[in-house]
Amino acid sequence: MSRGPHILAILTAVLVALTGCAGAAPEPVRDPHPADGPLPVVDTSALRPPTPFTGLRMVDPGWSVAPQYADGVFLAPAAREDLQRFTAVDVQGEVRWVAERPADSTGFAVTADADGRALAVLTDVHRPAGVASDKVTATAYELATGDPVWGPVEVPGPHAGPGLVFARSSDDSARTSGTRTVLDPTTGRVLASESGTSGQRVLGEYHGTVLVTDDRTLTALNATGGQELWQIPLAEHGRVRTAIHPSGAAAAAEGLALLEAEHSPGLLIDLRKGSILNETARDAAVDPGTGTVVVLDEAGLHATRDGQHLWSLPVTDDTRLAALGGALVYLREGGAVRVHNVITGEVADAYTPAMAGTILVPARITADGAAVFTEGPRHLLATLVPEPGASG
Amino acid sequence: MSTGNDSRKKRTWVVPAVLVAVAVLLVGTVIVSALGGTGSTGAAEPSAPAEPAPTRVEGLQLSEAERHDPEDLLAAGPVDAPVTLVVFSDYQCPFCARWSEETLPLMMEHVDAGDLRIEWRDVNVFGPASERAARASYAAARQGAFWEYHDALFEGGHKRSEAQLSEEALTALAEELGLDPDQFSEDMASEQTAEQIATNEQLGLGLGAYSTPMFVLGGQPIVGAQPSPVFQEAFDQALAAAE
Repeated sequence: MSRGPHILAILTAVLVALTGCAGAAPEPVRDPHPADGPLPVVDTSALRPPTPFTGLRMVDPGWSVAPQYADGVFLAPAAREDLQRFTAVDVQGEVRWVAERPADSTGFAVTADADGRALAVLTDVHRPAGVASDKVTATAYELATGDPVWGPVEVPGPHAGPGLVFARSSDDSARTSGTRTVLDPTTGRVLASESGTSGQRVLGEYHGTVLVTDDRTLTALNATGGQELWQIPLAEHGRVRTAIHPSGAAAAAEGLALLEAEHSPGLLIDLRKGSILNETARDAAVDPGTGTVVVLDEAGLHATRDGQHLWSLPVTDDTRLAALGGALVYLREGGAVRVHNVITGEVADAYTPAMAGTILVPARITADGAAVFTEGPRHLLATLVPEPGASG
Repeated sequence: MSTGNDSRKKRTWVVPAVLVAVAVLLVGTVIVSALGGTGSTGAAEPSAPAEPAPTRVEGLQLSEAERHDPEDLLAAGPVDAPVTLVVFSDYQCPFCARWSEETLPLMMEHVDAGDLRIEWRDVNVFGPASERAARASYAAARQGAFWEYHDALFEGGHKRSEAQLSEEALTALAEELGLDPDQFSEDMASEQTAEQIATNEQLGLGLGAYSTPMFVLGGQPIVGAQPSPVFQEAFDQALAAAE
């Protein structure tokens, strides 16, 4: 008797058994839909937020990753019951919509179309029967309403970012030298794609501006239509290696892009002017209220407004830019937080000395004063709504 | 040469090995899927690992600025005065000059009464001329004339120009005040003076005194050359708290 069918039967049995052990994943409700109820309100009695955020109602959307933000709405997924549940929450703490995806479809991006309308782009993973590799699609929704805008469109792989950049994963055996593709936020069509022959590399999409590079030139394209906006020769900086996500996330430094090049590890680019602002930047952010740009680089922390230098101050090697907003810049240094006024550079008294509890440091501050705080694994949202009983 | 038995022996481990390999692969896949792991199709925007909350707020432990060193040449008042005022200043800072003219005399009255100790720290944020002036004032202090020299640098509530803070001008000022110019020049250029000035500067910058003037009065910060009543009120509160 041949052993072939016998082995096949055993393998099939193992497959069935293991699949059965894992349990069938629930089918996601992909289309944006209303939430079941309001978000849970956080008990802040044991928390110590900065003074500007005390007295504000804080909610916990359950996000498992840091949210992205645009036009008054935050978006992030949460892992729930073998699904990813995306929740769009406005600065008042109200859930605008929720949408679900399979557990491994966590890729998402917030961007803007040609009219400046904020979009949420969610990916989806499909596993067609008999096909070796997964098919990944992207779908755009209006961030504020959840209304569909375009898609689903097939993309070469998972979301890679920044912005609407998608790429085959590095362990894909079919990987070629050109793998990153960037979509037009307005239509979902492919705007630029890397190829093995042209040498063009896609760096990122930044709310309507796409950066591509060859060995010696950095080029910005209008994400709608692909027209060239500007070019920067990179003779002194060598080949651009990658686009770096500043800690404040892309939208926190809207109008800026941080790149790593061969001879300039922190190439900070002004996307509107097509100029290099800094060549050793570790992080950067823009205060949405004052327009002040704060850059952390090898020499310290620097603030400029309207191109005018405001102040500089030395920092330690482990200083990080946590958040910028409300004319205050929050720095983390080891186990400490320090706050400076972004106009004067003076140390700001941003925490009430007499207050006890876990010190909260903002991770993102909006122009109107809402903020995201990371507390352990939680991403809490300080809304613009006063706590019950709070003044103001 | 392989025999039939050898062949069967090989097959006996082939089947379980294949099963184990498939099982490991599948279990791994199931685990990654259940965890929502990135895998080959996951997100490229992973959440940063949870960061512990800070344990302190810098800028609020300002009483650390107080030195209470009896050998401190840039201080006035008893070492054990109930209230201490630490001044972070720069000799090219016009607001520092104005404060020295308008408010420092008021604070000196409390020094004379034994209720206040003033400790001066030059942070030299305006550059080399400031640092030079700071070294000069320290050299004057080594001849017991710190406050006279300080007052002369801020005469009339105005700062000197950068040219008036040249080494020659600073030495000439010392001579005008009756100090030994040779000793003054030697002290101004000494390693010990440079170290002390650098230490004071770092203390100020370490506390976040990146703009001048900045004050720590009774452990509480006062930023900028605010009106004298602000300092008087803060002193009164600190004194009351100390008693």
